[in-house]
This record gives sequence, C-alpha cells and structure tokens, in this order.
Amino acid sequence: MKEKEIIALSNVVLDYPRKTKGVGLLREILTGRVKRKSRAERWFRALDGINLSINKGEVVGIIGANGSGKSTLLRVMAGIYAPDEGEIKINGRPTLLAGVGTGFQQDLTGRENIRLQSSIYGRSKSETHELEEDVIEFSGIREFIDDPIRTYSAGMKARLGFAIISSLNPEILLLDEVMSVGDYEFRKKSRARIEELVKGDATVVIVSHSKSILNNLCSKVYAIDNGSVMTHGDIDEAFEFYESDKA
Amino acid sequence: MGGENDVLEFKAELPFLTAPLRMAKNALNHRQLLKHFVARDLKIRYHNSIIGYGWSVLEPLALTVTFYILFSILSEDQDPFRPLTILLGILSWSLFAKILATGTTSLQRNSSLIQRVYFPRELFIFSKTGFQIVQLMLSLLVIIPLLIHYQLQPTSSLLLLPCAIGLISMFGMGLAFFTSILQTKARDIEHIVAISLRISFYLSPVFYPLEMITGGRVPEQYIGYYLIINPMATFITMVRSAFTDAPLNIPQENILITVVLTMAIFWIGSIFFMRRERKAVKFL
Repeated sequence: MKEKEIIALSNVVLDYPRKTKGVGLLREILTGRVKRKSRAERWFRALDGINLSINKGEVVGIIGANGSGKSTLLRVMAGIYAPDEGEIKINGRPTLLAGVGTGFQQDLTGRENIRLQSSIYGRSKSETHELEEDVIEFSGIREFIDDPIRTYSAGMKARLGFAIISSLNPEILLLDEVMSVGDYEFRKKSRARIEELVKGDATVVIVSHSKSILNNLCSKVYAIDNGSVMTHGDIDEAFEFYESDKA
Repeated sequence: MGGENDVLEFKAELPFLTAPLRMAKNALNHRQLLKHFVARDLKIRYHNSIIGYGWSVLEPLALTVTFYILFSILSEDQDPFRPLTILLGILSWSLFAKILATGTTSLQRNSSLIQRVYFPRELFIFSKTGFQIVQLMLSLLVIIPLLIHYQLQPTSSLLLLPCAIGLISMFGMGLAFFTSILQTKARDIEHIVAISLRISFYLSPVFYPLEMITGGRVPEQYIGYYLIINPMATFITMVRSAFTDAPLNIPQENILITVVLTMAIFWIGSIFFMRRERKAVKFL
C-alpha cells in the first residue's frame, strides 16, 4: 500500500445471488425435475474487476445508472460484502451513510438509540458520551429525546439518523445519496454539515445521480457501468460517459 | 479512532482454523457493543409490561406446576426434590432452546443493520447468548425459596453450575453457527429447528430425572448412545447436581465424550460460520 493511499481495490469481483426459491423449488423436487442451474444462472456479476485507488483526504464521486453497481461498490468498501475475487485494503474505519432514519429500536428512547447506534459504529464509551450532546443539538429534537422512537414522526427519525451518523466524525465517509432528508430548513443544515465533513480531512466517497452535488464537492468522479469503472477520474469525462450511456 | 497501523483487508478467501480464537478476540474488542445489545434486549423485554421481570419466571413456574401435578398422578417413583428437579430442567432447557432458536434467526432479523455497517456477525449470536444467560440468572432467583424449603446448603457441587451453563451455551451457539447461515438461504430452517427442539424437549430429561432413562426401563446397551447423541441430558443433570449435591450417576467416559463433542461442535461451527457469513449476508 502506498503512503497516501487509504482505499485500494484491485480486480474486485462480486457476485450477487439471483433469487429463485420457494414454491418453484418445491414443485421441482416433488415432480423430480430438479434443474441443475449453472453458476451463471444462479449468480450475476455485480462488480466485475474494479480497480480504484483513493488517497487520504480525497473526495471522490461515483456516478452511474440504476443497477450499475454503485451501491454495491460502496458496501464492499464498507466491509459489508467481501469480494469474491480480488482484494480490497482500507486504511482506517469506514462509515457508510445510507438509509438514514432506519434501524432504530422502536421501544427505546432517542437518547438510548443514540448510544446504541454509536456503539454499533464502533465508538467507545467516552466517544459516545462526547457525541451525544452534539447529536441532540443538531437534530433539534431535544424536547423529545427521552421519548420512545415509536412516537417520532418519519422526519424526526430521519433527522436523528442523519445527526448521529454525521457526528461520528468518520475518517472515511461513504455517502449513498442522502442529501435530502427532513424539511427545507434541515436539508440546508445537513447539506452544510456534509460540506463541512467533505472539506475537513476525511476521505469521502459519494455515490449520486446529481451532477451539481458531485461537481461542487468532488475532486475526481468515476462513471461506472455494468460493474466496471469506465472512466479515469476526470469529472467532465465521467459526466460525458454517464449522459451518453443514458441516451 | 483507528490508528495508523490498523489496515482492514477483505480478501476472498481466509484461513480460519483458528476461528474460535478469532471470535473470542472479536467479542473482547466489541464488548461495549455486546453490552449494549444485551441491555437493549433486556429493556425491550420489560418495556411496557406491567409484570416485567415476572414474565421471565412465570412461564417456567407454570410449566413446573403442570408437570409436577402430571407426575404426581402418573409416576410412582419418589423423587425427593421433584419441583426443584423439574424447574431446573426447564430453566436449563430453555437456555439451550432460546440460544438456538434466537441464534438461528439472528442474521435474518438484523438484515437492515448488517447492510449498513460491518462488525463481526458472530456478535449477534453472542449477544443473544449473553441475554439468555442473564435471563437464566434472574430466573434462578426463584429457586432460592425451594432451596430453603429443602434445607439444601450450597456445596462445592455448585461449581458444576457455571460449567454446565458454559457447556449449554457452547452447544447452543455451535449449532446456531450452522443454522443461522443456512437460514439466510432457506427460511425453512427456523421451522425445522423449532420442531426439532420440541421433540428433543420430550426426549431429554427436562421434566423427569435422568434416572428414569438410566434406571432400567431403557436397555443398558442403548444408554451410552443416548447420552452421546443428547448432550443436554448430561448438562441438565449437572445443573441439578449443582444444587442437590446428588451424584451425577453418569459414567465418567460418557461425560468426557459429551464435553469433547460439544467443544468440537462449537469449533467446527465457528469455522463454518466464519467461512460462510460473508457469502450468506448477500442472501439477506
């Protein structure tokens, strides 16, 4: 691994299972006509030989059509899926910001959920203690923080979720199209928070469809299609590919 | 925060012969998270319920009373500690059954969490086990009146209790390592587990003492096999002896085989789990 390199993917291949199960399979077994499916029929290739190298402090955008493998790539970087072939090295602790406002324990209070989520993201007791106040302040729901989450509105949950993850101060931040949570006021606030994170010393990978967001924040943008990286990091080149591909 | 030197590497294949050691290390590194998971389960369990803690002892107590009445009618042999025997059997069994049942579904139930953040997935099974052990400790408080009633003093046999709890947990987790992975691919597994648990509940000395099986009704040559294929028979008897100070009445080589077998199941299970979990979570 090179000195400044913080994320390195070499020839990363990831297969994803196709879902063919249930009654169909039972019928096949009962009628004795179990079809042996080939590997290609049971799996599809979500990532097909990805090579990427991201340096410390860089802000990298990834653009691509739906189903091109963007989110899967982010999950591989977060360590959620292990590559089937190839290798990935990450020098630090990645935090994936996706699906904000989900995964709360409905019967626990907002405060208890902050502590639980913080420890899920690997923060120690003292780190959790420090971030608790910041989260409550930023989310703007101090009044309800000791009420159970099930009494919260969807917007409140989203705000709390965003506040928690953005307070984690990750060294490596992986963002999956989350710029729009809550009302107008909160959106402005969260956009500013993300810009703050991006401009700090964190390394950031952003997956988005929005040209303006990527243009504003990123120093490099890659276009991906069918599980492969198609461009070389140049922003205009990536947008050009993305738009030609869509047409 | 991660130091300069902690490089995470995710390779396609990993050697995992040292799986139990790695799991132990992971659990130690994430003990804070484990504590939070157990505390969460406890809080959720007792939230919004009026009797709260009472529920965790009411079920075993009700079952004990039922089986006690049933046995007083049906069985002629005299077990001096019958209510205690039944209650300890039910508590030990439910430790095992709940570790296995909740462990089996633990990956599937936590799919949204698994898809958002990575931490070693065996922690889900560990935390369920931790929760069940805490529950057992709380439930064990209800036997204190029985111990006083029978004038049973704590003896050195009490050391059998932590051993038995450890072995039951290992056995349950060892099996859950397999079933939890399989459950991600085929949701039938949890039903198979539930049925198997129900059947083995009756085949294990849960609401009757082991002596009913070893005491002559079952041909001698089968008893050895029975004890080997059913480790819970030995473990439940250990829990009972811990309090009543009665001899185990199990041949020593059989105890040894059971312990070794349990450790082997845990060991092989942990290898299976660590090798498969990365692929299995794709099915969630």
